[in-house]
Amino acid sequence: MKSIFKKTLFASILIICSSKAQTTTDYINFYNTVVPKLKSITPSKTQFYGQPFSIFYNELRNRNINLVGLVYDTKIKPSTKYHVVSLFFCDATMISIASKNSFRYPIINITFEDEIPSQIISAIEQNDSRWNTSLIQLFSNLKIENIKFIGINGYESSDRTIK
Amino acid sequence: MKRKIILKLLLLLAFSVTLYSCVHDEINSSANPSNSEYTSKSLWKEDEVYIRNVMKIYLEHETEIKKVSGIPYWDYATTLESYDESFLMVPIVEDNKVTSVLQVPRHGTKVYFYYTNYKNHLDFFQNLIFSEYKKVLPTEKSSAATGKGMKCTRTFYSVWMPNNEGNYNTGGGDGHWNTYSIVKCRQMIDECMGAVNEYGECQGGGGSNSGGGYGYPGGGGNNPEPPKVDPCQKAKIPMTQANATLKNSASQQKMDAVLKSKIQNANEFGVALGTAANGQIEITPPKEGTSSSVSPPIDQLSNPNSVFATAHSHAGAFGAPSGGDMFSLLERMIMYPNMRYSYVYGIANGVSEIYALVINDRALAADFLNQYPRSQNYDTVTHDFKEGSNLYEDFTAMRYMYGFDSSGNTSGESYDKNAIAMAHILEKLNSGVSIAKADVTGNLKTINASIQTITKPNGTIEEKPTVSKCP
Repeated sequence: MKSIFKKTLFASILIICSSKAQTTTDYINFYNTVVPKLKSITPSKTQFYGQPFSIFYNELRNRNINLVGLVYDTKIKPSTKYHVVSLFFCDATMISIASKNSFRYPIINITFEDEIPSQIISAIEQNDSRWNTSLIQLFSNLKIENIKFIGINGYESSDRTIK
Repeated sequence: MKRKIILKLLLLLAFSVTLYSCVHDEINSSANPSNSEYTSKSLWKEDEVYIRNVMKIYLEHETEIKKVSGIPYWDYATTLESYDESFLMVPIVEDNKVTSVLQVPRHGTKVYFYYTNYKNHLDFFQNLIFSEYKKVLPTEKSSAATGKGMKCTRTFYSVWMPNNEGNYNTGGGDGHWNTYSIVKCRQMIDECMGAVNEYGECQGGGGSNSGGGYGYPGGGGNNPEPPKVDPCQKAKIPMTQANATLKNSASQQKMDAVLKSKIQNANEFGVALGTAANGQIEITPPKEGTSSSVSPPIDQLSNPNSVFATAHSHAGAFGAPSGGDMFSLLERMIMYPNMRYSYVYGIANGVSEIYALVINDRALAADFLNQYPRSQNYDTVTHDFKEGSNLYEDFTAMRYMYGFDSSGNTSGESYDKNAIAMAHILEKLNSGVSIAKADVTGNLKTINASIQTITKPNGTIEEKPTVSKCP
């Protein structure tokens, strides 16, 4: 009985905590935490070209950079051949806060040498664009053609240069 | 002697106490503006009737409305150049610091109170209240950077910042002017600190009674609620005309049938539509382009200046217009006085599909192009929005958000994510352009896409993409 009470109390606290709306301050904290880590990779990004995605992914993990979501894209429009993924480091609500405040948001665009297999596209769709461990396996052997860091010059910066 | 000294000290003390009391009274009177007196200390002409009425409502219901600590500085309330008893902002101050802003819009006969904490709003009021030397700069009215077609107003002022303490030779001494601004857009309600209702509207203390909001005396008097811009209404006439063109027998034969037959071709094909001397629609023969672009042969029309539409096929790809297609329409609109539609044919899951970009307001569309020119927002290699650009940011944000949660699509249609993202930026930035897709009956239906703040059943607040189509 005591245990149930504790669990209920804990769950209630979790619900109350998770009910707190994310704010502009939360976004700025997120940006200022993640972006310096991303910036630290940019000077050496070319060393990952021609390498399997898993090596780059390990570099992200080593720097405590957590992927949250992704979208896939084509190299050129219009096309149905997907070679590009945009990696996101926060959820959709945070991106909305950035968008409504006209803040930059950090993403990494990775172009793969080969077309992304339809199996991976299906997995992304099934996972509602959320990153998960099954995607790590699926992407691991895809070779990287190039990497672009977008939106990392300051959340209010007018400098839109890609790194 | 000793008694005299004590007496003098007592007199000094009494004088000090008196002086302190006067100063304190003065500070209280200026630092406690939540009393019933209101004297505008704003730098601008304000809608004082609205401010006084809202202040009265607030004072009557303060215990229900108040959600944050601090005091509303009503003397610094601003209606940001609206004079129809429709909107105000008032700074909330605690320990000489603006900690939040109370925004009060009126919808019909009710006013709603909600708190926000945008950094630029806080900075704006902080300096407005506590800086000594200020000057007003011209207000900027923007038709872009808006949500749901509402125009925004940006109000500026500058504050003199001396480089050395004590040097307050305004504008002439050692120092500089810092400029602050604030934008009023009714839709910017995303930093709500209170509850958000099922319609995505922030209730923030405004509304537990009578279904939300507080009764406004006179319901706004002679100033009824400003009409909301309905995206469907806005696009209705142009979309009806675009449909009429699509369904025209000449178009069906020389555009629709021709381009549908090209959608599995290795290259794109394009046609131009103009008005012949006899008033009938004139359509050029199709011109073949490359695998990813084609320039419709406007110069083949008997009168190129009569061109009002182009149409092209995508080579084995979806029909959703690309960023390049959007810029081409806008630039042709500038070049040709009648240009207003761009039809795009494609294929999805083996079935042909038609999308269209339709100009619904030429002036807005020209403003949009001016603000977001191709040179800054287009990538000539990808034929799409340039990575990192303004338009790319909003476009990609919507693609991601819709990927996260597509349950807000009530259209019954299966749209390409790129088309939804395109609809979002066109609507959000008040572009004067609509995007539509032909439904099963072949009729073009405008796509609406926006981001709403909603409260989920478990109480969590989420930003949710909503997608619908016009009737």
